Amino acid sequence: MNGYRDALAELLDRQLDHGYRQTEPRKHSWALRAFSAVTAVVIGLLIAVAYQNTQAAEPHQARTKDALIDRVHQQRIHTDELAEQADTLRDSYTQAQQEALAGSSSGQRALADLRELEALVGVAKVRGPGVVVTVGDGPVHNDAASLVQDRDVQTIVNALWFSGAEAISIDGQRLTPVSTIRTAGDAILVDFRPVTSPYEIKAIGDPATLPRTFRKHEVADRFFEYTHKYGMKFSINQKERLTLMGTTMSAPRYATGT
Amino acid sequence: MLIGALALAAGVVLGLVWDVAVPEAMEPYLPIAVVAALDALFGGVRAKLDKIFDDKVFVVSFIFNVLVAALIVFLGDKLGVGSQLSTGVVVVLGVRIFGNVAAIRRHLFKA
Repeated sequence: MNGYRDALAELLDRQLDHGYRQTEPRKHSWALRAFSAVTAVVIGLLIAVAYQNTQAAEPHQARTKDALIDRVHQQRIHTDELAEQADTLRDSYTQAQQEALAGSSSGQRALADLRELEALVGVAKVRGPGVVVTVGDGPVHNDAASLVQDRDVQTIVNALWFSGAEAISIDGQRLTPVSTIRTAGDAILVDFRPVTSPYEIKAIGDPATLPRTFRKHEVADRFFEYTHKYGMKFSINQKERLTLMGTTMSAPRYATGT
Repeated sequence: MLIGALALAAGVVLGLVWDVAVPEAMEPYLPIAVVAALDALFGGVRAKLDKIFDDKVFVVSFIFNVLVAALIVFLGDKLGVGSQLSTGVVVVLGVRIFGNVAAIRRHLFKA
């Protein structure tokens, strides 16, 4: 016990090497002085090398990070451009289709069928009355329970389909029969596009029944409870006129009609 | 003292001018070696001001501190406690450096 205390006291009180204390100043030999000088050179060298090493490592890391961030930004801009291009192409495609089919009566019938099917699967832009369900994260400092999960969005969307919704979009991202809602990291992805809180879920359906059925649904009750319990945001607003954009959906390759 | 300061400056300049590539195997030892070197340096300056500087103690303490510090890190790496032991070395030498710098301060400013 005593030994330990002494060692600690020594460490804190006497930082000088014992060697210095025990020697009376000796006669300095030149050889020893030269050794001292060499040691000093080595110390300086060590410090400089360590400095250079650290300096060399750091900008390299920073550069790599900057380059990666740059690439992410560029790719994001590129993606937006492509999405915009897809939108204009889709518009011109729809127009061309219309012009081609509008001439004959059978063409007009086919066009009407086509529009109906497109509206149904979410490829065409649709308009109509409906509800806007907004669900958002609670205060983040609370805990993860106050954050909206992919499961929550899925549950709300399912309840909306159940309540008679004919078309649904999440943050402007239209749902199709093959849509996915899932979590990747901290973000929720709808068909591989990230959406952010508060999530605005628009649904078009019978104005007489859709809002009422959804409001009475067990899911709506549960989320109203979450607003009190976790501070989540949840609201249901009836709208007379909603516009949902269409999305792209590749034609099925394996599922063929019989 | 003057020779020592000049030698130190020469070492720094040499290190900055001469682009030394540290071998990868030596890299873990570099920080520890630097702390040990700083300890020897401030110990030497303090001893000088206390008028008990001794060349032999300076040289031997430097070489030994660096070697022992490297040995501790090496052993630690082999036994899976490398980073903890490195921290230990830095703490011990850090306390010594602080104490010596405090002594130097008392010498220079009488406070």
